[in-house]
Amino acid sequence: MTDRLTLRGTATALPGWFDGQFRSMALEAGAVERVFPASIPGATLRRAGFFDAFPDGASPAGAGAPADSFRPPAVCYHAYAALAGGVLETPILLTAAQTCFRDADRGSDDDARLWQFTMREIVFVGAGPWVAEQRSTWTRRARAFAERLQLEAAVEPATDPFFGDVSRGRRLIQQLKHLKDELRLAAGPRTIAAASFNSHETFFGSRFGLTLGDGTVAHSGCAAFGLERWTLAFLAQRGEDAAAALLKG
Amino acid sequence: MNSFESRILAFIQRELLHDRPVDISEDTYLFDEGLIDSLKILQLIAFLEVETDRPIPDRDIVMEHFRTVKAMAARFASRSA
Repeated sequence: MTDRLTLRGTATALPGWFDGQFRSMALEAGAVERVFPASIPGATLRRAGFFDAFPDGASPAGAGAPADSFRPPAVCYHAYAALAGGVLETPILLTAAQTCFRDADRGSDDDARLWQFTMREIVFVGAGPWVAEQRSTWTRRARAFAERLQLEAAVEPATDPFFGDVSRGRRLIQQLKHLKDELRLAAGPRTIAAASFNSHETFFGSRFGLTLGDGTVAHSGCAAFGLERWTLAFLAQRGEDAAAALLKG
Repeated sequence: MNSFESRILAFIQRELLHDRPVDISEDTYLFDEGLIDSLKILQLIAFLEVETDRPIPDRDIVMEHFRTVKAMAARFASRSA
């Protein structure tokens, strides 16, 4: 795991360019944009079951931050907390980007994993079939986007468990039901996960008291794009000249 | 239904569904119906391991082998005594 990344030259503008693309896709799809705080309450992470799934924990927000707060390990926890206790008369489609931090390696595959990275998420909360359709749609959009950029990409079941490695049952259910797929991009001799498409079923709906108009528990899902990873893969596959051309539009 | 399918079905009805009045057969799609959660899958694996006297590696736990009672029996029957 690399701590953090310093970008130079053309690469400095690429994460912002990618974020602009994903943000536009989200807004065109009708998503509402949110800006979330740079720290997240421990109570929210506990409610989300984060520490059960990842006992190595999250990075403390540090001096000056409110007590019992952490640097966000993902964007979407904020979204469930913001919606907590609500009755959703219509489906919710939100988007937000944020610097995220993960202490734990999570037993994952690659050395492209950063402690600090930037994630653009699209979060969908609603009835099960609608959430499933959103997840498929975002998988399709991401794949088409990679194709437009002439990037070698493949969608496959994730090796990085959303629910952590400690809960074998949840991990196996995730594996069985394909609850987490990821889009992997070639980057040199390896591939790296640059986006993931997740179904949480009613896990967060139950924990955050999200109900639908008919009284049933809401399903949720999200699509998450790792901006540094798109940058790394684009530079590895297409090179600096193509990146410069991309930025010129 | 063969005897292995019957034993799996009986285990699911008795131990996982606690004899709830849910109508399931050897062809019921257990996961689509939301009948098996993260705890029950572990109980089910443990049951199959005892029945077959063989550990089931995580890589074998895929929908193709677990979708229905019939699929489980077909996959793991050859390992049972």
